[in-house]
Order: sequence, then structure tokens, then C-alpha cells
Amino acid sequence: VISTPSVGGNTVTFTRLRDVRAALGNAHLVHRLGLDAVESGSIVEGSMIDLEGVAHRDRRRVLNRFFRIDRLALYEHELMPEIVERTLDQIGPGEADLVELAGVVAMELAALTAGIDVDPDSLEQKRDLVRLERAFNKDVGGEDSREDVRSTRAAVRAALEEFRARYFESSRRRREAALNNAADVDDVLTTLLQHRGQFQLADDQLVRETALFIVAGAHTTSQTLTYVIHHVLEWIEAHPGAREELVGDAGLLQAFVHEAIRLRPINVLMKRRAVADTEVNGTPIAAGTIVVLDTVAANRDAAEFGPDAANFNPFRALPASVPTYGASFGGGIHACIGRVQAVGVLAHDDEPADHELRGLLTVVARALLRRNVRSDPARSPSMDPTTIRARWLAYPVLID
Amino acid sequence: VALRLRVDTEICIGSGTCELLVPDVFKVGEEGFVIVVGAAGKLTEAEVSRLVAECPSGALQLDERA
Repeated sequence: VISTPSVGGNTVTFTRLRDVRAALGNAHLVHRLGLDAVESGSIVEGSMIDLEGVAHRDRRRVLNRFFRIDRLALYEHELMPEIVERTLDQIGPGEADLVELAGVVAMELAALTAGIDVDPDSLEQKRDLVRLERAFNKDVGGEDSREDVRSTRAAVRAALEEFRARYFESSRRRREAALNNAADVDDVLTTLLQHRGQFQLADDQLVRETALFIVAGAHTTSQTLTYVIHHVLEWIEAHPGAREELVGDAGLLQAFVHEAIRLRPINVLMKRRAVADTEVNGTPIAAGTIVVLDTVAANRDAAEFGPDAANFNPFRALPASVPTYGASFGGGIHACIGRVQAVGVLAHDDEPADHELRGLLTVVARALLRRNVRSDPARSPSMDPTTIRARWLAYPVLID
Repeated sequence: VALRLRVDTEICIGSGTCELLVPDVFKVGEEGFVIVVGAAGKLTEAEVSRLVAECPSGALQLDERA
């Protein structure tokens, strides 16, 4: 993705949570930064991320059904625990890199949702898809890259071609056959094949869209889970007995997950472009202005989260009108489609818990805590120097 | 002044968050957008606040005329 420069410094930056949320919900502030904002052939081109208006809404309505309560409940109560435990067994005890481990654990579910066939018993295949996903992500997060985007372009294209040849084509053939036989296959790729006439989807678009769901499902999970475990391990070190308490109380662990995500949003800056004169909580925005939304600052807004907003405090009390994870999942029509799958919904004290969902991150974090995940004293974590996003490169841990 | 909830089905993307939070009032229909199926007037202020806060598309809004 290549950002269109904000000509003449015509930029407005918001740092308060209420302003960021208002901007995200403002229909005159669009995700696409300019007509040339997405280079032809980019993984994002023509995807839900790239679309605006009715085209976006209609695509999203069709694909959102994979992230609604009936499907998420099935995933969480039947599929997730099995997938997580199986993959952790495959990885085995000893030294591990939490960033890679989390990506591998998330990959089977991401591929299942996307409609890419993966052998559940093949750790090698899941690792291979994580390798490809890391390449794709250079395109998705390209505007935040410190690298010359053009220099990564060829690698991204090569990864997409590899993905097409090794995973996509066979997955598509199986789904086309299933559709012809009215077999019960239900995932993003199958749905896109069913709607390809309506959405005018060329073959390349199908490859890109499924690759994007792989990135969305695995990459963000791996980065976020690393932050979650990072904060949980710090908490455990300062609070003896907390590990057992967190393993025994999924709701408490879920609150830790939400707090870690508030404090450590993966997408540290979001941008929008004004397509008409508008305003955000009284601040006038002229058409053409680039609006920068500082997620980190908004998520540490003391007016919303209190004087200790910059600290990790999973026990902070918030009113119902303030999301516990801040603006980390974006908002408006481009809000993260997988939010509930990732973090579930926190049950408030006055609400029944009969439809509670904990989310994938809590499920995986709990499994890792049960396996006594701990920092590796011999090796230090490192951050990815190639992006302004606060992205882990490696986080060495030991597991039993 | 009681909080009033407004539902804009034009911008609803069908995330189903409202259905998750208050399943006896909201459903996402076959067409992929929200349908009010129950007594929305019985929602508490806390429920209304939370629905507005968690609706990703902004389809559920506080009605400022209230």
C-alpha cells in the first residue's frame, strides 16, 4: 500500500478516545486515502479493506456471517480447544518463540475460516503458511513500513504466487466440486465463489481475499497474544499465585486480554481521508484532509481510562459506554471483522453469562499458562525494526 | 432523560454484536443486517450505552433528539 501524501501538510491528528471513535464512525472520513492509495496487484486491492460505500457494505454483510454468534460459539466450544491443544502438542515442550508459536496455533483456525485446506496433523504446513502470511503482511501494513515498500513488493508477489500454487488452487477445486454436488462446505472462499458474479471477482481477487483472511486471522493473533503473555507474565511475577488464579478463571484472564490489547494496540496509527467537509466533535475537517487517529494515545486517554491509563491494570472499572479494548479494533464500517472471535465479549457484572464468549486469545493464553509458559532467561525478546507498528520480531519462552 | 436507540439498517454491516449482547431484541437476518425482533424499549440505559459502544459500524446510535 502506498500512502498518498497529505499535500501541504493538510492533516488533522486526534488523540482523545471520543474523537477517534467519532472519526471512525464518520461516513465522510473514508479508509481509502486516495485513488492511487492501493497499487494494482497489492494483496489489499479490491478486498474489503480497499472497498468503500455500498460495495464494501454488501461484501461485508455476506462475509460477516462467519463471525456471528452461532459460528463463534461452535468455534470456541468445540474447535478452538482441540486445535490449540493439538498444535501445542505438535510444537512440544522446551524452547519456543511465542510470536511464531501463536501464529502457528492461530493458523489452522484462520485457514478454516478462509477456506484454505491445511492438514491438521502437519505442523510443517502450518509453519509454511505462517511464513507466507508474514510476507503478505508487508503489503497489509505497508504504509507503516520503514522499508522501501517497492523493495518488498517482489517478495509479496512471489509469496502470493506460492500461496496460489500450493494452497489456493487445490482448495478452490475442492470447493467448486462441493458446490456442484451441493456438499456442505461453508467458509469465506466457498462464499466468494458463490457470489463471484455479484461481486465481479476475478481469480486474482479470490487469491488476495483469502490470503487477507489468513493474515487477519494469524498475524494479529500472534502479535496480540505475545503482548498478552508479556503482560500476564509480568503480572504473575509481581503477584504470586496469579497463574493458578488466571488458569482457573477464564473471565479474569479475558479481562487481562482486553487490557493488554488496550495498552498495546497493533495498529498504532489509523488514517482516514475526508471526502467532504465535515467535523469531529466540533473540530472542522475540510474535504481532502488526511485525518490521523493515534490509537496508542486514545487508548491511554486519562479522561476515559483514569489517571493510571498508561499502566496495565486489568481491574480498572469502566462505564459500559467505553470499550475495554479502546480503539484497538478500529470502528465504523471498517472495524476489525474478527474482533469477537479474537477477544469474545466481556460479561458485565449485571448481565447474564449464558452466551459468554471468551475468544481465541483467552483460550490460547489459558492453554499456555497451563503448560507453564515463562520467559526464557537466556534469550531476550526483540521488536521488528522494519515497521512503526509495535510489532514483536521474536519472544523466546519456555513451555512444559 | 431516557436514552433512545436509533438503528440505521443502511450502514449496518451485520456483525451481530447486538445479537450477541441482547439476543431477545436483535437478530441479524438472512439479508445480513440487523432486525429488531423484541422489545427494544425495555433495554436499560447500561444496555443501550454498551450496544452503541460495541456496534462496530455505528448502525446503533444514541438518538440525540431524545
